[in-house]
Amino acid sequence: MKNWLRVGIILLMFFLSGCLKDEIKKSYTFYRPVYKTTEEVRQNIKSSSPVSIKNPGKLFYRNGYIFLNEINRGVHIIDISSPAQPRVVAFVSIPGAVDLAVRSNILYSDMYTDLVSLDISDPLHTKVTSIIEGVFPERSYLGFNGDTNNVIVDWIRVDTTVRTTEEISRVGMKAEDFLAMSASSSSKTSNGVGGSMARFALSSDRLYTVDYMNIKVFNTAVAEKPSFVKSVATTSWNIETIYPFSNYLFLGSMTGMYIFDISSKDDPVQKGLFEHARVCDPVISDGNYAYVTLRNGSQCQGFINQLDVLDISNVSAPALMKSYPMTNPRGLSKDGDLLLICDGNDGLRICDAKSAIGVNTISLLKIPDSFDVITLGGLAVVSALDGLYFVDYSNPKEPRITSSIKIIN
Amino acid sequence: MLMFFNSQAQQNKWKPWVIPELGYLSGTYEVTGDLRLQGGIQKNGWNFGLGTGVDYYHFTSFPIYAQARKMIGKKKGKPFLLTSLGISIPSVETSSKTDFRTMSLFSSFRPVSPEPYYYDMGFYGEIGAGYAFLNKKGRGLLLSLSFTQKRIEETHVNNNFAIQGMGAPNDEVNVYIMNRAAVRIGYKF
Repeated sequence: MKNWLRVGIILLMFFLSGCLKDEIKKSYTFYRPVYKTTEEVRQNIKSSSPVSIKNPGKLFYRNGYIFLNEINRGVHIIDISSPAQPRVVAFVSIPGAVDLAVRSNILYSDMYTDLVSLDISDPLHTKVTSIIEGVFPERSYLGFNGDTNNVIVDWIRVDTTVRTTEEISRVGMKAEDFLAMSASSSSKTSNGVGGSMARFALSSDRLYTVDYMNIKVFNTAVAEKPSFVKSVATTSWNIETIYPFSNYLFLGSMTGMYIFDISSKDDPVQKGLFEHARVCDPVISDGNYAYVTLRNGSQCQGFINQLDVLDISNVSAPALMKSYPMTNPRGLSKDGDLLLICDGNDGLRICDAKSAIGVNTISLLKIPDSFDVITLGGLAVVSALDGLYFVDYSNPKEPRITSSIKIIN
Repeated sequence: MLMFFNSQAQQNKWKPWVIPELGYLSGTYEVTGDLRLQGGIQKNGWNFGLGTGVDYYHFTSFPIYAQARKMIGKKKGKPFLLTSLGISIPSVETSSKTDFRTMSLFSSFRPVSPEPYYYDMGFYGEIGAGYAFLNKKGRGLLLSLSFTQKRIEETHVNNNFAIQGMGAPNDEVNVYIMNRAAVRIGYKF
């Protein structure tokens, strides 16, 4: 019995000694920022030798060149004067670049919190024409941007293992969520052509940008020296994309499509709203109808994958004409009666959209994980996770990939 | 003399045993319970067996383990020591958690549904002691107190810094090491 008591006492001490704390052995990676001075960074914003595409973002077409964002690093300049043989001809280093738009010979890009204007009349010899500081405060990295004299230009990977007694909180967002925020353009000839995943949009001589809650207006009448006009608050808190058409801006948010009237260029006014379930939704319009792709996804939640066609003849009351089931639709573009949709792993879906209530798939071209498309009259430029594809859809029943530029990781 | 030899022969013969148990588990995450069933063979106070059950602590899991018990003394009521070693199999292979992640880029918080979490088996172990109230046939109630640990490995593809355009997605591996005190009541057949 003495032994039994001894064992009991030992066990009791064991329990009271704090040995019963739960632990988590956590192995993870974090990235440590590398800074350069603002002056050094600005001096380097110019065309340099091409570099391999690693993490493509939004794209813009202008005068035979594709301007492809390399997320947070800069812009690739791709010569597609011969679509069968596209060539990456230069790279412009712009740390923190995510969105872009092109008007006349000027490319607008964000550089973290700043708006940079670049003269691209000679894509091989681009130069900065203006920088407006601090207009995108939402683009600051919490805890990293110590002062205005330094800019993050790189990140060093650090692998580590720690033991903790706390529940794990997770920090960050997905790359593809980021890609859902891109650049676009109006049909004005002086402006370039952008995708439907845009967060920069050009209309007439104004540049409109969106963050999650606001529209920002820039006057680009003097293209090389834009000026910030104002920020207009919206009633949404989750705007993802912006698409200009005629005198309207179409804003895709996670919970609906907003229509803003920009008849008065500097004073966007909300005219209409079409609400839907919580999903991601790039939007485009041809003036009569708005085409909204709804998809589920890690950031967007929801369980809907479909194309909604809305009648916007009365912009104050957009009406749903019909919904079409899709696989996981993202960016889309319209060329005449053809509607091209990046439909997740199914690839590029080419539809006959002559009738809003009878949109039919004509063909499906396998391009896995495609996320945005721009159409250039028979040639589609499709960005996908593994590269940039050039698709000849002059025969929409038999589209074919004429060439591609692969991502090198 | 004959009785002595008969008794010795009985003690030297392996006999089967089965113990269903109900447990009360206490740790830093929560206070909950488990159910176990173990069986095996015994001789000279040594009990060897295999067991399985349901462990509801933090992650519901199914332990599968080998167990050894040593009964101390020859009285009907006697203390015992026990140890178990095995694996803990999570009840689900994947799950998706919705949580609030800091979106450093936008200086704001938003609810998001991240990539699924994958779960894999881990270590299961126990060490403890107890007291058995047994009848002549060796059947009866058992009470025990033990320290028990289960581990579950959680893997999550983390794309945190892919947004920077600088880093690639990486696996984040969390090994949950759950240390609990267990009070159990069982019946030995």
